[in-house]
Amino acid sequence: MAALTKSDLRALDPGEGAHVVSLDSTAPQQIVRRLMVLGFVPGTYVSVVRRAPLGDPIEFELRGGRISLRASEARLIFIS
Amino acid sequence: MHHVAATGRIALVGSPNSGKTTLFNALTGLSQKVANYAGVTVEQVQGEVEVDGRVITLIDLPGTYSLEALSPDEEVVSKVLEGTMASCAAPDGIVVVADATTLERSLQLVGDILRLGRPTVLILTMIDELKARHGGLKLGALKRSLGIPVLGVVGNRGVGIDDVRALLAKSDDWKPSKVEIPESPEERFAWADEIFARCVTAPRRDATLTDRIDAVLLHPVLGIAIFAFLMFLFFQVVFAVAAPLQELFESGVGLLGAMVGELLPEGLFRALIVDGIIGGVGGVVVFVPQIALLLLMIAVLEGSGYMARAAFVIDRVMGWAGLEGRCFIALLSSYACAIPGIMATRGVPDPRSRLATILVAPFMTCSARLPVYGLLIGAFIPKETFFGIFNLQGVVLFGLYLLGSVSALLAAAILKRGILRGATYPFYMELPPYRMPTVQVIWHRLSRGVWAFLRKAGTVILAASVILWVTLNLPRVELPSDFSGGEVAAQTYQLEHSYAAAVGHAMEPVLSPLGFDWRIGVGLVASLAAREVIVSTMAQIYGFGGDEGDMDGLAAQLRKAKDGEGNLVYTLPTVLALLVFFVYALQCVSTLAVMRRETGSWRWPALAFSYMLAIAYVMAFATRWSAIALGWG
Repeated sequence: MAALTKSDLRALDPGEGAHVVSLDSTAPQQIVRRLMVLGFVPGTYVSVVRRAPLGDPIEFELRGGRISLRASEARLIFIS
Repeated sequence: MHHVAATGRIALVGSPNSGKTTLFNALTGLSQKVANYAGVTVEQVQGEVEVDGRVITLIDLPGTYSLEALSPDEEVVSKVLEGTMASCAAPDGIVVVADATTLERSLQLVGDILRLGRPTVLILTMIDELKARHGGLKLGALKRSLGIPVLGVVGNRGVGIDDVRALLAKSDDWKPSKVEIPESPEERFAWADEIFARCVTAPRRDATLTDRIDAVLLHPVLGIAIFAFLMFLFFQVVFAVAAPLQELFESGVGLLGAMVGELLPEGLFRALIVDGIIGGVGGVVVFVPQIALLLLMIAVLEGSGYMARAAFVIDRVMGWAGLEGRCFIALLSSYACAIPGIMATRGVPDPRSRLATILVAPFMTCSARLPVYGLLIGAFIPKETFFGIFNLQGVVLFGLYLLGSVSALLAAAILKRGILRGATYPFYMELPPYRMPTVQVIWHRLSRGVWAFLRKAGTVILAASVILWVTLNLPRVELPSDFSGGEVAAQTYQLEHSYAAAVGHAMEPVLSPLGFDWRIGVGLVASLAAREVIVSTMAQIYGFGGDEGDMDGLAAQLRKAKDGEGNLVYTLPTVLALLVFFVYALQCVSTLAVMRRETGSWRWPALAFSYMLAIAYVMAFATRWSAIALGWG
């Protein structure tokens, strides 16, 4: 059961989506704040549009817009 | 004739890709002023719009997602809006620009700005796109929810621009919103979601044209192939297409020198004008076609939206070097000239990555190195072909490009793990929709880049050429009474007793381990002003009045040049050492000046200059002795 283990946005494949549960509270505060400002707040539905040809960064779709994050930022965003 | 009654200052603010700059251009036309905010290298773009006899100054602020500033760009936005920016008084009113199709996200920024309590209006762009995708908007309800006027426009087609002008005319009547807006991002998104649900019908997410193009251009396999092909095309155009244009410029410069030579009486003054100034400056101006083509291609790639994709594709590679995709754009520009490259780092939000990019950009092979490489490779690398297709001269040139590029990434990796360690800036970027680049924007970038280059030719290189000519030709010495040589020998005698020769001889102990003689020493000192000056120096030293068109003659002279003991100066190990020296050394006063301006201190250009000189010396030394050990000379 995937829902029991804590997984993050990196786990999603293109076309898949999930709701944000929480953000990594151990990460630097300003990074977490900025990710939230970009729309990654708990409850938001995020889906993966594509990965870059070399695997990173990852383009996400959320709140009617798109934004690309690196895996190093995507791992701070936990999903159900 | 009209009377200007009153003026107002209005700031335009919005997230990147909100259509803010398109709206700004539609309102202000060509009357734009670009300057820097005091103390930071963030561009302050202002324009004027006249409505009902009032002149309103519009300030186009950098794109931002939040007033909680992380990067210098964002800091400027918050400071200007709060009125704490030293060089820019608080605006009388704020226009927030947001893309109607992604309002769900941008309401967050709208809330941020409304909380400032300043007179504000909201302008929604891409209204046509929203409708085309079956979305909808209740303007009245949105106005009431936000407590400010709201207008919809289609900026790139000018639809609704008159309404915006009418709104600007009444900017004195704008009021701060009285709506209560929560402070934390989480609560604010809840607030925004509630407004969005009430006022907006979300557009359908059908596959747009951009999606269909991206399916190809960002395809896991095709995407890399297309990226590689475009980069290949990029260099082909720069070198293949620019070459004939460059020859045209060269003959123009030659013609000008000959014409001026006819007009002036023979003597030192004519030599100064023709050899020193026209030869020296002209030798640099011939690179205008190449730089213009390079800037043109970068402007097209950026304007069409591909450059962001290139950054997306290459980000992982840049990540290994501790940089990010957007630094790639700066490094790519540096193939033309480090100056536009360093300027392009303004698009990099993380200050440490930006600084690292600035400090390594001069390693990228700029066009000023081309005449140096061209002369030395043409003169000393055999025109051999191997495996049927590889031309040895071409391979050496490519090797020098590769050496520079790889060194830049390695240096960045070391800087980011050393003195520029500790990035706390998150990486995020948006891929804007593909567009037809506009002629106006391309022309703007092209003319600015070419102008910056010409200004360098007219100032730094002009001064260097004159100083060089003077030090090579003074003091005038009497020929000894038993002197028997011809005119060339007399010139050589004069040169060997010049100030420059004294400097060159003084440097010999340092240079001889690299195989460089005093003449190369003079060339290296002269090329501290600008790399290509070494070619005119060599031309002046070996008796070719700085005429760059006569490169073959100069190459032949170099091949038979001998030192005091009658040995050849330019052996293969020495030539390779000289080439490698030029890969690494930061011989460019203009680059140092731009580094100073962009980093705000002499510390960074001083660091760049010394570390690059040290690497140049060590690598040239290693190259020469490796080549000797291999028995190449």
